[in-house]
Amino acid sequence: MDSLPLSWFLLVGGVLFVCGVVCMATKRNGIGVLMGVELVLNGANINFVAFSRYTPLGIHGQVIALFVIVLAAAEAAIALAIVLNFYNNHLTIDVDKGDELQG
Amino acid sequence: MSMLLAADTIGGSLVGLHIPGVGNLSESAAYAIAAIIHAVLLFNVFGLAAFVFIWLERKVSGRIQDRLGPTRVGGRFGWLQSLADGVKLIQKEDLVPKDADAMLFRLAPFMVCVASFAALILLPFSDGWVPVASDIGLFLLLAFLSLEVFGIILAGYSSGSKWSLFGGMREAAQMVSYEIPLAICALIPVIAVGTLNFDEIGEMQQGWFGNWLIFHDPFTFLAYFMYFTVATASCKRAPFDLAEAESELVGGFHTEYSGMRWSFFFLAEYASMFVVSMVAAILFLGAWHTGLSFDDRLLGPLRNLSTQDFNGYRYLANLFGLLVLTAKGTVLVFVQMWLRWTLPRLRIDQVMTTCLKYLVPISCFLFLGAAVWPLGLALATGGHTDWLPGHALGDRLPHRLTQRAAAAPSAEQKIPSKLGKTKKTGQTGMSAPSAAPASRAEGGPGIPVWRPVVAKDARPCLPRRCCFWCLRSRPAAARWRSFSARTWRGWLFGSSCRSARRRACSFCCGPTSSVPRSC
Amino acid sequence: MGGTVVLLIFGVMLTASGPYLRIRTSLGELVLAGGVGILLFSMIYSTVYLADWSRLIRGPGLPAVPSGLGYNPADEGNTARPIGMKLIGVSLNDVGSNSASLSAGYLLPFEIVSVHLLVVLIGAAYLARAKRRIVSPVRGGGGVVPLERGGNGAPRKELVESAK
Repeated sequence: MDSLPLSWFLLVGGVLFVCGVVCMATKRNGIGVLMGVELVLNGANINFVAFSRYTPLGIHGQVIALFVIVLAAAEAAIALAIVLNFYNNHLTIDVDKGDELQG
Repeated sequence: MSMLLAADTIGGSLVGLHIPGVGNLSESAAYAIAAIIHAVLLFNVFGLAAFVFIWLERKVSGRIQDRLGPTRVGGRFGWLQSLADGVKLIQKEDLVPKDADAMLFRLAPFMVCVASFAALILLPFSDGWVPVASDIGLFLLLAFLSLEVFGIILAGYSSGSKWSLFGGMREAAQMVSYEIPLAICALIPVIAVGTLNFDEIGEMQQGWFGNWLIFHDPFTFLAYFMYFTVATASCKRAPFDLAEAESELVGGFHTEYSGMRWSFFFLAEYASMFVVSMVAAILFLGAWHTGLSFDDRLLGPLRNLSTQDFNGYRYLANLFGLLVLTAKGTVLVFVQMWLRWTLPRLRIDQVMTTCLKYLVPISCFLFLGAAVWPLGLALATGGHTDWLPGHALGDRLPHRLTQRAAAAPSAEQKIPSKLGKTKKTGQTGMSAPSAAPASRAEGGPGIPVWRPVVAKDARPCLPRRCCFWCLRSRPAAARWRSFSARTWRGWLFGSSCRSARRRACSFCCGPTSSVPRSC
Repeated sequence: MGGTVVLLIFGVMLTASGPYLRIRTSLGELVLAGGVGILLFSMIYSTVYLADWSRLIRGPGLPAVPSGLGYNPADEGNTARPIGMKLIGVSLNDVGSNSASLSAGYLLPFEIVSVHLLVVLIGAAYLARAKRRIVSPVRGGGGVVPLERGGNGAPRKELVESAK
């Protein structure tokens, strides 16, 4: 681990982030969008941990990553409840169908 | 890095190995080879565990039900029966039901197997014999075991059959709920030790068996039984086996699976039973120490030799530890099988009630008690705990750590190590805690023998038996219905015997209101 | 760990489309999103390689645990103990020192997050509670009217008109 440059870790985090963003942008399935959100958060986590290993950020980076994981779980629960409500209202999880403000 | 990868001798000793004609092995190649060796060994453990335990299950269930179990394949005890089963399963037709989601259907057994196998990576088999010696070993192991749920749900959902779906959903609810008390009960010995590292937990329990964590304080004692119960539930074993309830849901989540796919589920189940039992043995029952202090006096110095080079004596000492630990794990697996064939199955609402209403509060209470115990003990004894057995305040540091600390002279901390005061009293406690069931004398002197009278209108009972719980392999002499004549089985299973329909005669289950019926 | 996965699986199962219904993005959207993704990634890539990390990178290892305690050093990846101590608010560098000020612990964020989790899960359970649903097929996509028996007791009804 000592010989791997920091930029490789950042790139892996970046790849995950970009995959998450593309997933959020393209998926019409509501749960697919949630997958994208999880990917984005985990990409950011990798960045935090990489910085914690290589820079004087130290242990704080890992604690931040821990909190991000906890909050991601909480947010996934809420988002699923919202998707469930969406499904109850529209009978589909195609988020493209949620294009009316009325009702 | 060296601590995390194939930590022990294999990796270290392969580095710099000179292969004629190629040159010295680089560090990464050495560790890669060590990793492959570990993987092969673990595959064998995974397969052997299932092989042995399937045979053992059939034998145990047979004996409990007064039959012999497999006796034909491979000799008198049928110990190659698992091989025959494997051959049979391999040659079965590989079916995917029409309504099933084919990709998920095929994926699900492998998810379960992978989760169960991954847990073996963190499991130590002896002092330092672990593929990944991680400081958070216990945490990771529980996390890997909790991935099995995923495969079960996929299996239930993707089978396209309502029995499977019900089984899968029940199973998801059960396994996810039981993770809470499992984690709490597994944490209770960690409170006593102070580390999640299996190696250090094992090292703490050296010496005589009073040092075992199960005897550390009353809360860990209770936590052991609760951990074992919860672990049985999380392996989907009876009495919590709603998912595969053969008599209710046809087969639960594995109804639609046949052949080798079905057998993957059971490979994973037996392997995770083994893992969970080994974890119980490591956390509570003294890991690879026998509990008689002489083995640690003899083998301890051997085990603490330097880990960098291969040392034959250390290998043998650790091999002995492996045998001890595996024996403990196997005994616990046997207890799980015994429970399965003895106790009736719980309904799903009873399963969930047990977990959420009873086990979770009890485990939280035990956790709180175990955390407060050192404080209470110190208050009660005024800090003088030398007279207590073991190290009651949990203020030991394991031997290796004090060695490391002693090597680092800049210790401004006073090391609160009481290793020097280890009480090695002269007593040698009895070893294996899960003692073999004590045999009771059959119809000792003074106990009148009751000859069974065969009546035509007798309620049907098992032939040559009097009570389901007192099965023996040959007709047993009946005894008076009195508590003094109760066998140990009667004491153990008495309460469930009252609910059994078959009470042809109740001599071994204690006096009940029924008239003794003949057999 | 399994719990989050199970949650997502339940979400998938409860909202799954029928076997003949496919939600597909069109090819044009995929190409466009792919292009945006590649652009974003190239931005990140160039940032990572243009920045001069050598000013930040320090020598190997996190600040080591004082050796007197004898635990496995945090250098080799064993950060569980320092993280745990930080969450209680104690920094391992300060154990044993008599300084009046300790470096920052994470006790307050820990408590906040635990309350947050409680609130979030109660909220999610409330949001996802069972409501009755009227399925009235309407021409032109009028949609479904949720009949909610909320806290006010009296059901709230709306007439669905096939206006379109």
